[in-house]
Amino acid sequence: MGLDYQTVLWNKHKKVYDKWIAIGMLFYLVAFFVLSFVTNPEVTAETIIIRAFGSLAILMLHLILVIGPLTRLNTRFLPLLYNRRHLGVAMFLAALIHGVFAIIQNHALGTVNPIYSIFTSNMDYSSLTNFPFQVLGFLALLLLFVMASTSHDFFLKNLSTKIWKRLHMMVYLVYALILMHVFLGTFQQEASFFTAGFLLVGFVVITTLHLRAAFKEAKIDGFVGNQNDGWLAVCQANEIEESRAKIFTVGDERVAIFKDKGKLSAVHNVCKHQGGPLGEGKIVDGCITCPWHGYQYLAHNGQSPPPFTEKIKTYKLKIMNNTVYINPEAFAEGTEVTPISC
Amino acid sequence: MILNQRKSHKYIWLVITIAMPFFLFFAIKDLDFSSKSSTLQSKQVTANIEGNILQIQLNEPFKSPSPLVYEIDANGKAGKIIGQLAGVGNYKFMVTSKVKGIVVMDGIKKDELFKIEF
Repeated sequence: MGLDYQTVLWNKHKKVYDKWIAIGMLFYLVAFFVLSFVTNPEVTAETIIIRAFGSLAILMLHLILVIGPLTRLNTRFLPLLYNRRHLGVAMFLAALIHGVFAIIQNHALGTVNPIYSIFTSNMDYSSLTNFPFQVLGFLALLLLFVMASTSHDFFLKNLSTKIWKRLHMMVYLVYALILMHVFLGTFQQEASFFTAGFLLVGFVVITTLHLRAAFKEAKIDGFVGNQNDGWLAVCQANEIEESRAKIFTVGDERVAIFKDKGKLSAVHNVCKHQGGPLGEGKIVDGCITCPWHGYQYLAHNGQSPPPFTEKIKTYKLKIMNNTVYINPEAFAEGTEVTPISC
Repeated sequence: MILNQRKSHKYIWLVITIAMPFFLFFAIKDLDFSSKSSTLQSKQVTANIEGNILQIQLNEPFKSPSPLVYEIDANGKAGKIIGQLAGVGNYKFMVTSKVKGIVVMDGIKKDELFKIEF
């Protein structure tokens, strides 16, 4: 959480995260360069740079795309999500280096405008086999630029969470473009079955994880509790662990019911920052703490502790015969509701 | 995430899962894998013209330090100069659509290094 905007919002944990990103990228690049020079000494340095950074970007894109579903399937992967934003920007930088060198080598020599050349050097747009694959890579790079340049809380706040999230869901379109870019490039230039095999395995892994996570979420959304006089029975009080929550679907919304020092409170499950699932977090220092980026809220009123100003909706609860009931009508964001003892 | 975003995620990945294998399959369906590797960049230089863009792929550098590219004139000789080649790479030059062919000449010795008619 922060009250003002800094160019890069680092803290101790994010520095550790970024250090591992840098070490991983450096290790991959050094290994790629050494192996390329040993196995194919005739290849030019420019070509190795293009291939090294291109393959690194693809590898990082795969990692970025599996983090989301992995965290929804198993909370042990949550630390990977904490600073995914920097991983995305680092991936864009690798893709940018790949793109710039590829444009220089293939389109910047001669008298034709390089950008014009990308779109006109191969005009076989009607063929899928011979489709100009560099156009797909160029479009993907443009989209990545838009996402990387808006990967900051300033844009998140000013564009609104909804628009920002939609903008950054373009990463799925980018994945489709890059998949075709590399696949077509692989077979149009030199048939590399290793590269094609990696892409296919990656495709199966990514789609399987995303669909598994999606159907798991759909099952939760399908929850229908017992209605009793306007109240919805959701669970037994002892089913909720101390300092933790259980998540329920109430109408079209998800609600997290937290237990803190033996008392229950219900809040909207969606964090105001990036829509993180608050109910998968826990109570830290008396505050509900989002598992994604650590945004905090007070359980009894849904307000971030001062000086922060975020607010979420609250709900009224009651207990009868150890059964927890929730009133589906939410209170306005930040409304005080007295926690109930159980 | 809110309900609409969760639904969007699910439908996006259903579409990707169903559509991409079709694209990938039809992209390679007509390829001839048996002959692909033997023809790969075997020539020092190749040239072709598409519309008004001349594309020259230089796979190995010329020994001449200053190879110049000329249009072939009506007499089959080097005519109007198009540009210069340096190292290995893919060169693109804007030309008039009437170009019959090109000739690459040593700019100093005036030796003919490469000639092609389209």
